[in-house]
Amino acid sequence: MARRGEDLSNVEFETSEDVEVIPTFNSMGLREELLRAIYAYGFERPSAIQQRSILPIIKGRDVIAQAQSGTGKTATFSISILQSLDTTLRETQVLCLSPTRELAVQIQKVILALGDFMNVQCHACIGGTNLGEDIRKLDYGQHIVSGTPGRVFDMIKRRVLRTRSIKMLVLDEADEMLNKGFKEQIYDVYRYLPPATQVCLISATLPHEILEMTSKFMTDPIRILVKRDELTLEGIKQFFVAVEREEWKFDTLCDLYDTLTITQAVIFCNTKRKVDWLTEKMREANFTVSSMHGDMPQKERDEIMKEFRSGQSRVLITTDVWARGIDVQQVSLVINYDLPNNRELYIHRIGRSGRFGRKGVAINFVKSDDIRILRDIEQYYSTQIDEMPMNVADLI
Amino acid sequence: MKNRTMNDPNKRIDVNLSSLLSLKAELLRKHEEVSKAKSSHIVGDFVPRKVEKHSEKMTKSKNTTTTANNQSSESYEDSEMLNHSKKILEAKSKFYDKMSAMGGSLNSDDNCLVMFNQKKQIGEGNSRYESSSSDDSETETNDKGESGEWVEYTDCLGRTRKCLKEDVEFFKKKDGELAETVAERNKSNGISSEPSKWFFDTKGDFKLPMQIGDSKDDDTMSMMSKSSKIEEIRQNWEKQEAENVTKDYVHYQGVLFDEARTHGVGYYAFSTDESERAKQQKELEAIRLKTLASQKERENQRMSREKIIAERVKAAKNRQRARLGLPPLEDNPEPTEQEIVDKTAEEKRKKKEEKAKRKKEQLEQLKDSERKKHVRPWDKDKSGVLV
Repeated sequence: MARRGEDLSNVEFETSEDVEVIPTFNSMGLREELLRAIYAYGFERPSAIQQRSILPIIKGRDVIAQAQSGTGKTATFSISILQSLDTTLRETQVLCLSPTRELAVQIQKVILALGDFMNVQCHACIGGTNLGEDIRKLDYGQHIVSGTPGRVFDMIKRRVLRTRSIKMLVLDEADEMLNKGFKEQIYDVYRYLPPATQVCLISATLPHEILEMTSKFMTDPIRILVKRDELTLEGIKQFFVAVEREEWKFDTLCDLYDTLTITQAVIFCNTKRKVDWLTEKMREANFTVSSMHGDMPQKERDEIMKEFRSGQSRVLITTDVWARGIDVQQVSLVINYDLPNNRELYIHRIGRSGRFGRKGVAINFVKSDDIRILRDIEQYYSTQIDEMPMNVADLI
Repeated sequence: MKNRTMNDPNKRIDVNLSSLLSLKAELLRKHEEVSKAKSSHIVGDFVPRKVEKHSEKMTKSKNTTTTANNQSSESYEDSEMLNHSKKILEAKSKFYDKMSAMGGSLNSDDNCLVMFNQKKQIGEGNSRYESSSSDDSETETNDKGESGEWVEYTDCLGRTRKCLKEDVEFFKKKDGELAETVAERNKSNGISSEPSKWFFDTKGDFKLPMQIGDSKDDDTMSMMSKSSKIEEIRQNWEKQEAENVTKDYVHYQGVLFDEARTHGVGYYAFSTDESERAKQQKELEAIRLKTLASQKERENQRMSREKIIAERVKAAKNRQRARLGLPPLEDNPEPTEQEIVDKTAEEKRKKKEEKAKRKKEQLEQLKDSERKKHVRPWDKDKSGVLV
């Protein structure tokens, strides 16, 4: 057990010993109505992370769960939450925090789906929405609250979100939540929770410095980790297109447009301005695209998400607001118009395709000085990023 | 201009052109057959099969002298057959309504295999048709080749039809209904009653409507229907959002918003209406319990069957043994030495396992109490924290 003052910078974190592997959902001892909803949602056999993490969370242990993108992490903690819930108690028992509003809404959706036969109440408590409605919903009593830190903290301070019955805190995309931008807010929320609340950290990427700080708010956690050379998925093929000048990226994208629309595609830029610029330029060239970033009003963001999720739109140009956790089954192609600013974001971005065993393709647009960065990523994850072949459409 | 819009039904362009061509060839062949048949005075154009039989009968009856009695029984049969065909036509008309209500233009619609407009166009080339395709009124002419009882008329779509004179009123009525639905469809599609410009060119170069680049009408129309479709979907979402705000209970169906997601086979989309949902859940539960009960029943049946078979086998064996002068088999045969050894080994193993499990549990308890004593740095100075 990590004690205060212990220096952990040289400790290598590994998966905990004797983590039990449960091969089927049936043998997990889940409630019957939850089990039915799991199969109804489309799961048949638990994924590796589900086989290992569901039981420890249900047992009440603090858990750090890492797994490759799109392998069912959200369902892992959702199933565990639903199993440990007392539906007769109309008070918030679980708080789940995510870095983006869209992700918080998506988690609410998954929990509602898996809890459909249990008639569970889960509220998405996110910024950019009507405060009064939020207050009313929380006042009515919600078993689970899935939200973003800012609005959740606001609700706690207003005493609308009562924390006395909270048994579990889930930090999805934990490394992002404990990063500089969010850590303070997480601390603020944590201070309002009952002491020794069960904490679960979930992410595809968990850098060492994050694992180091977990001792501050977790007690002897069970770790289920993935080595970084196993973090990229075989099912997601990665390519690059070398361009001499920035302007050529646009032409390349236009050439690829027919490939983008085979199913659905997400194009990542590094700034909101660039998203706007690229969207404008694509539309000028008569291509149908939609776009989304954090400066848009929430109502518009919602609408764009719905359109993309329903398949009404097929090509989405966006920022890293979309990099983590968003699950749209039909996305099979990701384009890094700009290379991401860090290695973790690379994993998350390409992980928007190839969901739950499906095929995916990631294409990186690189200028000559970017190639070095890409090679670094390739080496870091022991993966392969080849030059894009002509028949890329066949791989989707 | 290349069509860049997404989800366009027109995206299907590259579906087998050759099969379309062979379809067209088949259609032309049939037309030729029909016109041949017509010129040889056999009516077999559009009339339903039963009516066709009847018309043959009619020709026969013309050749032979028929009694008035016979005629009256035939007219009774007529009305029966007409009722039948009326039913069919009504079903068709309903389907037509449904299709026209679907919004998309019929000929570019995914569900439409019949090219109504193409039919019409071929019709125009036929000199036998006396009225123009846009003519909504009926023109009746006596068929020269047939007796006075048969009349030829042109319906609202410009198709030339034949029928018995006494049936004219009925067909007139039917045609009126058809004209209404056509007008309705045109209205819902935002096109005038003028002949459409987006049908296939059957004589010149063969092009699918979506391939006609300069045909702005088609483009704008599909764009319009698409945007209105999206607008409708969006309005539904907004309505659902508004409902969610006022509702006390929000469930999965209420937040799904037409997401294109593949669910499992056991997926059941419950109603968004709370009472209806409760009803559905109750029904589903009842069905589930019934399934479980029948599963149990089957299992019991299987068990009892197996038991009977085992008893029969045993009885047969005992009979054999009796013939050989051996005593019958015992119900619980004494265990062999090997079995006794196995059993003790098994017991030992179980004991060992239990011991290890107990030890593990004790250790886990110890660890658990240690965990409970632990105070996380972030929990310090929280009210109620055990320091």
